[in-house]
Amino acid sequence: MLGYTVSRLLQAIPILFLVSLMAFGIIYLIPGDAATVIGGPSASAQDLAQIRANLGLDQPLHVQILTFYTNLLQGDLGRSLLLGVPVTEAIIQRSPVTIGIAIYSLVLTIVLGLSTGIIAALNHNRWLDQAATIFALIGVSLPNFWLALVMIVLFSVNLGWLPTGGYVPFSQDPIGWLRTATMPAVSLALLQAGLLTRITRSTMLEVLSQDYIRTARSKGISEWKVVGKHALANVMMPVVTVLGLILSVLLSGSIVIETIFGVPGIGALLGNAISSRDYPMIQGGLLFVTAALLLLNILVDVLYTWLDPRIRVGGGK
Amino acid sequence: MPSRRFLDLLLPGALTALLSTTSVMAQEAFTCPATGGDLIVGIESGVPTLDQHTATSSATRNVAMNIFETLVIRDENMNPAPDLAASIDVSEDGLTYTFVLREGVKFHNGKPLTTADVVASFDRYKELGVNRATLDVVASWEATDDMTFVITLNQAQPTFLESLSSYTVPIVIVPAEEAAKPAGQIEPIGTGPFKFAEFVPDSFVRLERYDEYVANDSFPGLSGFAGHKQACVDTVTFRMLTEPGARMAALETGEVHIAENVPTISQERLAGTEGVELVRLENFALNVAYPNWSAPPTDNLQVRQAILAALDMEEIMEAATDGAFELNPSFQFPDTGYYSTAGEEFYNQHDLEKAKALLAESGYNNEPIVLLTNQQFPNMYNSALVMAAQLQAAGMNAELRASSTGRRLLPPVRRKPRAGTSSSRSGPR
Repeated sequence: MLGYTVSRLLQAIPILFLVSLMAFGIIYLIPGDAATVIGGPSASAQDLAQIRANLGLDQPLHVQILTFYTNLLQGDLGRSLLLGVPVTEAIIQRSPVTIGIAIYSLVLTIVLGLSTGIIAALNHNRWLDQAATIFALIGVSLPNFWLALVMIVLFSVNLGWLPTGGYVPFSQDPIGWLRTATMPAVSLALLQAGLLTRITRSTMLEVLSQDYIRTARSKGISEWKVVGKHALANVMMPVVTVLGLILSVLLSGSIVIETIFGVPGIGALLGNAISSRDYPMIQGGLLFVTAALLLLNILVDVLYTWLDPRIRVGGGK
Repeated sequence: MPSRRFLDLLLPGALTALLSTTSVMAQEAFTCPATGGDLIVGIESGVPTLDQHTATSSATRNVAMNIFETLVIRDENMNPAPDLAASIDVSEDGLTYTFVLREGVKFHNGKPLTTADVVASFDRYKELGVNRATLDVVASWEATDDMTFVITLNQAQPTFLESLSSYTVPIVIVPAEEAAKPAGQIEPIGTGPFKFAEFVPDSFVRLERYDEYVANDSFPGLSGFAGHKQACVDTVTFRMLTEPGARMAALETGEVHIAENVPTISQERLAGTEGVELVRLENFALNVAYPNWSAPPTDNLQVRQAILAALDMEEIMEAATDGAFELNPSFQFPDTGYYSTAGEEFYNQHDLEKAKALLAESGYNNEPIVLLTNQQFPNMYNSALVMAAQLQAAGMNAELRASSTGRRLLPPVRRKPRAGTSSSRSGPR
């Protein structure tokens, strides 16, 4: 298992390298001259020269690449043009907010998606199944920003249960955190839960028709145990597979959701960086998000081998 | 011998005269209707930084101007008014401006304000301030003593105090030691009625009342950015609620006490909500398009006249504001010092025949006329969109070019014209 983990981590290195090369290249992907785009239509020649010097664009290409990687390896992603603080500092400051909401959302996704999927499969072709399928379809179809706005109207304006937005750090006030994080987490979770419901339902149906389930049932084991012990272990496999996918959608969805709810996380940071052409911040954000997703996917894969010994290719233990 | 209009403001007799003719100005000394508490304001845009010198964002300005003060600023009628200055003297040749600071003013860190801070702040603005072109006309500035600051101009400029008092990106006075820091890295320490407490980017800025604030006693009450400022509440929290729906919801639930920029679509519903009062800001912004005089085809007077003849301002403003507008032929708001209707016959002509005739005479040969705008402010984008359609109807080859953002990250020095472009911008300067 350790060997597998190490080899997966090593495999991540070339991917990270490619992504970092893309991050480096972003500045060259801008049509025309990056300095003109950053400086805006009214920048003077002097301003443009200053921007080029600040970004190192006045250096030869090989020097630029070398500087980029030297700084990158030292954890220096440059300074945000918009916020005036080091990019690394901004990311470190903001990531706990997004990670907290992502975990909350993930828990909601798993609880909602798994339970609805299992209930649907156990009541195959009955009204509960149909209700669950409709729930899943609605979840997958609704845009999360729309859901967020509707939830604000319903739960804040009409019912007055939750604040319309804002953010209270968990360390400051756990109840306050729960009140502010619930709507962002739910609006992110519903879509994923719909996806998970569909996968759980179809896998469960397949597993329930297997011979070993019939054997288990014929032994007189309670239905609860058949489903909870024998079937669920095998249902978990495809579920874990989509976890990586779900996490990536949670992170990208946070750009819109954090903006709507005024949550100061990575999503809002990146959204603003993009809309204000803060290239060092976009580069840093791209690298951070990719690295985080890579690590999470490796974690999911390792979890996979732990759940299913058959996957441990190469006999690693 | 002080004889200029802005100097009249400083003379008690003239001040009385001004008050009697200007009904909107406070007649009596202002007293707080209530004191204490936390005032929460929902603002429409993120505050990128509180470094006022370097920020083009009006969100920065609206928050930062509670923390910082300037030598001279505008009152609510757009006239220059002394802020940190107790008096402003102009030499007869119009070249030397002498500012004497108000007594007893202290920064939020307890340090008394002296002209050393003013010199350092002007030095910083000259180097990295957004509207540093304002200071191009200045030959030098110096502190002749702790309280006297003198600006000498290269050549007389009758509107120098008007440009110095511009609140677009004000020349705020910061402590000398802060002024030495690079863009975006100063501590927000000023002399204003509120001091900085907490800033969580993309979330909120919180300010606290500065108990040792020394108000400008030459005014009975607040007037625009000028006057006798008084902090009534203990704290003010500016919450950045960029999503209009969420901002309005926060107002309805009472989570914020003031929400800016109410979408037209929400106004009817909010007007019927108990405890909500809609305040219409008449003199809020002007939509202005600048033709480029130095590049063809808009360097041609007749082409510019044709553009003016073709425009239907009613239609443009309807698209820009959803009906929340008044047509105004002037570059200034009614009731302000420089308001004039001179030239109004050229405004809102919507005469396509005249436009076509002018074009034919001008020798215009279907060259592209590029309208430069941005997509961040819908009022600007929509104006430019309708304007382009109107110009096309008059036979012009109008093209819309929209940048993804209206926010500039680095300040301009001077506006270097580009070939055949015009730009759209709102807000008085």
